[in-house]
Parts: sequence; C-alpha cells; structure tokens
Amino acid sequence: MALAGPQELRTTRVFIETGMDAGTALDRLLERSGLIARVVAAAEAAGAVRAGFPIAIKPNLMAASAAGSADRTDPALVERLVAALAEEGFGTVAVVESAVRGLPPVADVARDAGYTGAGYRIVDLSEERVPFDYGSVLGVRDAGRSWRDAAFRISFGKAKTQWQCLFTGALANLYGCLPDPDKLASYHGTGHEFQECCVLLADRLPVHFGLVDAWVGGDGRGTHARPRHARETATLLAGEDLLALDWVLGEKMGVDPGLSFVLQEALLRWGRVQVVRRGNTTAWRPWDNVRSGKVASACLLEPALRTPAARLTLRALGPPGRRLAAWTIQ
Amino acid sequence: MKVYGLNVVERLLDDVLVAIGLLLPVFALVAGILDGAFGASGTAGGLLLAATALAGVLLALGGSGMRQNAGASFLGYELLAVAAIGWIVCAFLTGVVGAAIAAGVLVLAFGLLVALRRRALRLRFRPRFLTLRNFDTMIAVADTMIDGDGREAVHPVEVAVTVDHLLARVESPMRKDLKLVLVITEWALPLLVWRPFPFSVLGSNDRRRAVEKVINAKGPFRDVARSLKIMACVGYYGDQRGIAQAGFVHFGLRRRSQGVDQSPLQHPDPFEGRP
Repeated sequence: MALAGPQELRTTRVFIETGMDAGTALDRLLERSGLIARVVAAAEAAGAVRAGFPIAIKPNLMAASAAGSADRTDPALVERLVAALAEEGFGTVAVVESAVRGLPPVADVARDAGYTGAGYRIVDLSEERVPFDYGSVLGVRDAGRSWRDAAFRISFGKAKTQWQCLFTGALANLYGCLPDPDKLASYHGTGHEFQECCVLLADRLPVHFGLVDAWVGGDGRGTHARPRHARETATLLAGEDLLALDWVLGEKMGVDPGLSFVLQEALLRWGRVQVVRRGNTTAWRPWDNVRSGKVASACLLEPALRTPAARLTLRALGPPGRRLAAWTIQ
Repeated sequence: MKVYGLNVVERLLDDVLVAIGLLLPVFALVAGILDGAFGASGTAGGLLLAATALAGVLLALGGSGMRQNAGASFLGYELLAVAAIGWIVCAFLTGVVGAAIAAGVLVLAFGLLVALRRRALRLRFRPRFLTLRNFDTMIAVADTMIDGDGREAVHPVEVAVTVDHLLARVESPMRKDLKLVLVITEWALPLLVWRPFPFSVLGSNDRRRAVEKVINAKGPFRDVARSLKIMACVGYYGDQRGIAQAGFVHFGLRRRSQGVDQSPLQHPDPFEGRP
C-alpha cells in the first residue's frame, strides 16, 4: 500500500516582466525564463526533429464575456510566441481551445479575436475527442487529442478577476482543455468540482510552462454577464510551475492567493512550493478584486444555478443571462 | 503558503457569525422592550430573550476566532437552535405574529450557518471516508496523542488527512468500528472528565486528561484508547516525514541495498501439469 507522499518543499522561479511595449516585453520574458531553450532541450531529449515536435499552446479564448482584450489572451502575444518557436525550427504548433455550450464555435471566436492561423493550427479540442483515463474524480473521460499528444504544453493564461475563484491565470486557463462543451454539466458539481477537474487535468497531462498575459488585465467585481474592466498593468509573467505562477499573480492583484479554490486544490495535490520572484512584485494599484463574500455565495448557490431550470431561466433573460448560463472559470 | 488554510466560505462564515451575533442581542433587547409585539413575557419569555442574546454573544465570539473559539461557536450554534425552538413554542402558545416571524428568522439563520459551516469544512479538508465531525475529532485526537513537545514533523490536520485517505482506500469491516470509536471519543470521552462538550472543542489539557482516563480504564474503553493510538500512529508514521523522523530509511535507499538485484524470485507453478 502506498504511503502518503513526501511533502518536500520544491523551489521554482517566477519571472515578472514589464515595459512599454508588450511584444518587446514578451521577447525579454522568453529570454529570461528560458522557455525556448526548454523546448529545444525537450525536443533533443525526445530525439525528435524540431519541425515535427508537437507543441500545444492553450490561450484564454472562450471566456463567456469575451468582448475585449481584458477577457482573453492577446492573440498578438500568442502569435509572437509561435514566431519565436518557429525561429528555432518548431513548425508543429497547435493553439488549442475547447467549445463552450451556448457560445459560438472556437474557430469563429478565434477569428473574431484576431488569430490568423499563420504558422500554426487552431484546434477545437471538442472536435477531436479521444478517451483518456484521468483517474480520481473524472475517471475515463474525453481528452483533446492535440493536447494529449503534445510533447510540450504551454498554458498562456489571462490575468483577470473571476467571481467563482477570485482570479484566474495559467492554471484555471487549463479548464478550457476539458473538451465537453457543456462544462457546467460535466466538470462542475459535487464529486467533481471545477477546481478538482482543472487541477486533475494539469496533474495527468502536465503543463511544461506557463505564461500569463496581464498587459491589459481584466478586473471588476461583476460576473460573466458583463465584460471586465480593462486595466493596463503592462506586466507579463512566466514560470515553469503553474501553482507558483498563479500564486505570484494573486499577489500582484493584492489578494490572498490561498483563497482561490483552484490554488487550494493545487496545494492539496502538489504541496507547497518555495517561490523565487524575479521582477517587480509590487501589487497593481488600482486593481478591483472580486469580494470573497461573493465568491463564497457563488460557491453556495452554484448547485441551484446549475440545474437545467435555472439555466433555461437565465437564458430567457437575454444576452447577459445567456452568458451567465454558459460560464466557465477560464 | 498554507495547504489547509482558511477558505473564502470560512471567511464569509466568520462575517456572518459576527453579524448575526451582534443582531441577536439587539433583537432580544427590542423584543424585551416591546414584549407585546413578540409575546415574550414573564419568566419563560425572559429566559427566551436571554437565550437569544447569549446565543448572539457566543456566535460573535466564535466568529471572531473560528479555531481559537471553537467552543463558543459550538455553544452558540446549540443555543441558537434552542432559541429558535423556543420562539416556535412561543408563537404557538401566544399566537403572536411577531414571535412566528422571529422563529422563522432564527430557523433560517441557523440553517444558513450550518450550511456555511458544512461547505467550508468540506472545501477545506475534503474528507473521503470520515464525516466532517469525525474529521474534527481525528484532528483533535492527533493533536492529543502525538505530544512531540513542538518537534512534531507532521501537522495534526495532515495526520487526520492521512488516516482519512487510508480508511477510504482499505476495505475492512473495521472501518465502521473506527468511525464508531471517533463518535464515542467525540461525545462520551469528555464526560469521563466531567466536561459536557464535544472532544474536538476541548482544550489540549482536558483532551489529554480524557485520553489518559481511557488509557487507564478497563472494559470497552480500553479498546477505544488502543484504536486512538493506532489511528494516530498510522496517520503520523504513514507520512514520509514521520518515517524520516523515526530514523527509518526505506530499503531501496539504504547503502547496502545499492546494486543488489531486487527483482522478485520466480518460482515454478506447483499446479502446472496437474489435471
């Protein structure tokens, strides 16, 4: 019988980059964090040809209120990352996302957001479902093939407040890799809470590197029914450990990161981590966080809101209700 | 970075406890002044108002320190339930609408507090086999049984988690008995030292006294002591840090095991070839 795992404190670095131009800042961040070097090392270790080495990037795209730059990862930054990979000879890059019931298809949302598809594929994980044994609370469920088969996975999340888990970053962004479009029915609820599903996915299909686009962050106390406020922080973050990365992101937002359900779950699963912060760690001011009372109320009321009757009622209320009925934690 | 830190629901519970706790004495005062409107008059009415106000004070105290004032919180919950029942009885006996409204509000407040507490604890510890009350007891048991004089390598919460996960994995009829042991520990053990409160809200010295009582006892209580010891040890030494603290090194990590062929021996099937 397996004994409880050792709770050794591991050390990891999180890089914080600021500047005047997002593209230049990303270039500096990639250099400082050594992301490209890691991809090269991974390809060499696998003995793969760089052009055929499968890389998957998960940006934040299908946020239910995705009306502007405050809600999703800037496509220009994602394409700059793809270009940086292409410079090193990596040509099999997939930008992945899954469909959300009640929202337009991934391809349409990506096109509207500004993704060109030049040098990479835009993949709807919901359209290439394959069985996968996640174990634990999910068991055998579907996974997106491109995400499952990727040899190097990158989560490129968005820094924004979220009314169900305080804030989201690189870790909550992975929720969008769960391919069932009806997220509320499949990945929410007693026995498989959203944070459990999200962290379990990250545990079974590990992400090799995380980036967070906070250049124009999204803050505000509202729900998915309204877009967040665009808050220019001129900051990008990166790190190999998503828990540490999101922890630092929470600190930058001025909240206790441990209050986030997703980070709590990650702490339970992976244990504590010693974070070495590289960059400006001063909290963003102004930054309007969701109140913890609202998050707690959402947590209590969610079972009622998740019922078909409640979702139908919300949809009948018009566009804000429809967005609310199709929420995801991304 | 705390693995089992406070969560948002607990934070909300703190605030709600304090808010309700402050409102109840005010309500009791108003109801005392306007006794005709709420029907709480005479000695029984006075006791009801006092119970309502006291429940409020205890809840506010409990909400001001969830873990430190667990006893006050427990008593506050109990007294709030008693006060709610009292107001229901008052409404039936007097037929005053104000008493019925007060009863309804108190029942709702009690329901809200219980729901918040259950959700908060479940989110924080995620027990797989033990109930929330069992889990609280197990934490208190670990805290009592493992007296490392500040040198404990494993936190009592982690000991309880290890025990809970182990019990969730094993399949044995003993599991039910262990649950029963925790129930007895929670409710019966404190009575041995004349403490009419649950084991999990007692102070560490009183818990220690209660456990010492059962260690020295005879009959079924002796089995309770043994079970508590086993569970605490399994939880503590089932963790790698507890193992390391005891000086045990796994065979595969010992110097003399290095380079040794550890593949399992292969024996021929004794039944092979038999009809």
